[in-house]
Amino acid sequence: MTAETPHGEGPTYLREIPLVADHNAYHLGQIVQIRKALGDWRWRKTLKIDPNFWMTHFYLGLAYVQEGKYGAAISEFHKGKTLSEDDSNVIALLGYVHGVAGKRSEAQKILDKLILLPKQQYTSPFSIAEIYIGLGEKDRAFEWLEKAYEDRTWLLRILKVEPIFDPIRSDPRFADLLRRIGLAP
Amino acid sequence: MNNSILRQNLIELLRGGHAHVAPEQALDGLAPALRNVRPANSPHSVWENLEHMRLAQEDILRYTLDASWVSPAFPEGYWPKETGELTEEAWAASVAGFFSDLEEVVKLVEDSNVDLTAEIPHGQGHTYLREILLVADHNAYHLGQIVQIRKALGDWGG
Repeated sequence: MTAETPHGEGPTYLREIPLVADHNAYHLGQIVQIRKALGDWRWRKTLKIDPNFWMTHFYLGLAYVQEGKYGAAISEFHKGKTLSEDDSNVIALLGYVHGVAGKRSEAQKILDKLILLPKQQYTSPFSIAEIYIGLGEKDRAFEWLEKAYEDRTWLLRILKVEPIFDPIRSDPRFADLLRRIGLAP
Repeated sequence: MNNSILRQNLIELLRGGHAHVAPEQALDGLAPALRNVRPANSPHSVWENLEHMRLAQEDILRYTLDASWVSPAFPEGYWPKETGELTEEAWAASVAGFFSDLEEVVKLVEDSNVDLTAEIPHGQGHTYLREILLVADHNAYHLGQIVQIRKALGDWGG
């Protein structure tokens, strides 16, 4: 191990072997950091622990939405929907992502289904607003956000920071709603 | 085995600069305002990584040298507590502590009275060599993360 490599210019096997390990460790650190920045680390680790936990698929889908990977997001939301036995929050995001992906008829079908759903189970108006955002129908989104406000839904707490609502953030109605919720800066 | 070559190679590994940037380079020129900033989706800042490296290195070094050393609770004891404001003093203490302990590890490697392949008397079968390689490996991993965080913050020209 401490002998010089026969074809080298002085370095020993002992120098070269830890160098490989050291170099790998450095770039493994970078790979993990990049995956964290892409939102592709924490949820994948969680999936390894329990691949059937629906919320992991839900949040992984949201991460894919932010990366513009709509196909992957749809796949994750479908898994989340099945595993959660049709949680309305997951169905809403499925509708939203179909909308932003340009699959309007699919988004509309999900919207229609979700609007009918309250007869069987509670659906927050906030969830309906999310689908309207995906469809680019801002007035209808505000209409349902107002209903969410009247409903005092807890989901409104994420309104200020949730990127889904970026398309309506500059609208004065958004600032007014935030102020009424108590989230204005 | 030729002990002096082993020791020389280990010191090279600890001080870095061959397979990747050395710790000094990784921290050099970092804007003070960015020391404790987490880029989007990053759970830790440069300082939090540095402090984690310092705490882990300190634990490995003290465990190796001192039978009475008590390791911090894992994992919370190996990371600094979340703080929005990082003082100049806290930053300077992290930097000084990290490099001071690193030099102590180097001195351990240089100490010809220590058989690096021997088991640590109070350890659980671990050798000095294993602990030294662990320090180098852990530091390399987090140096990679520090550089990546600085790139994400637009603060890396290296």
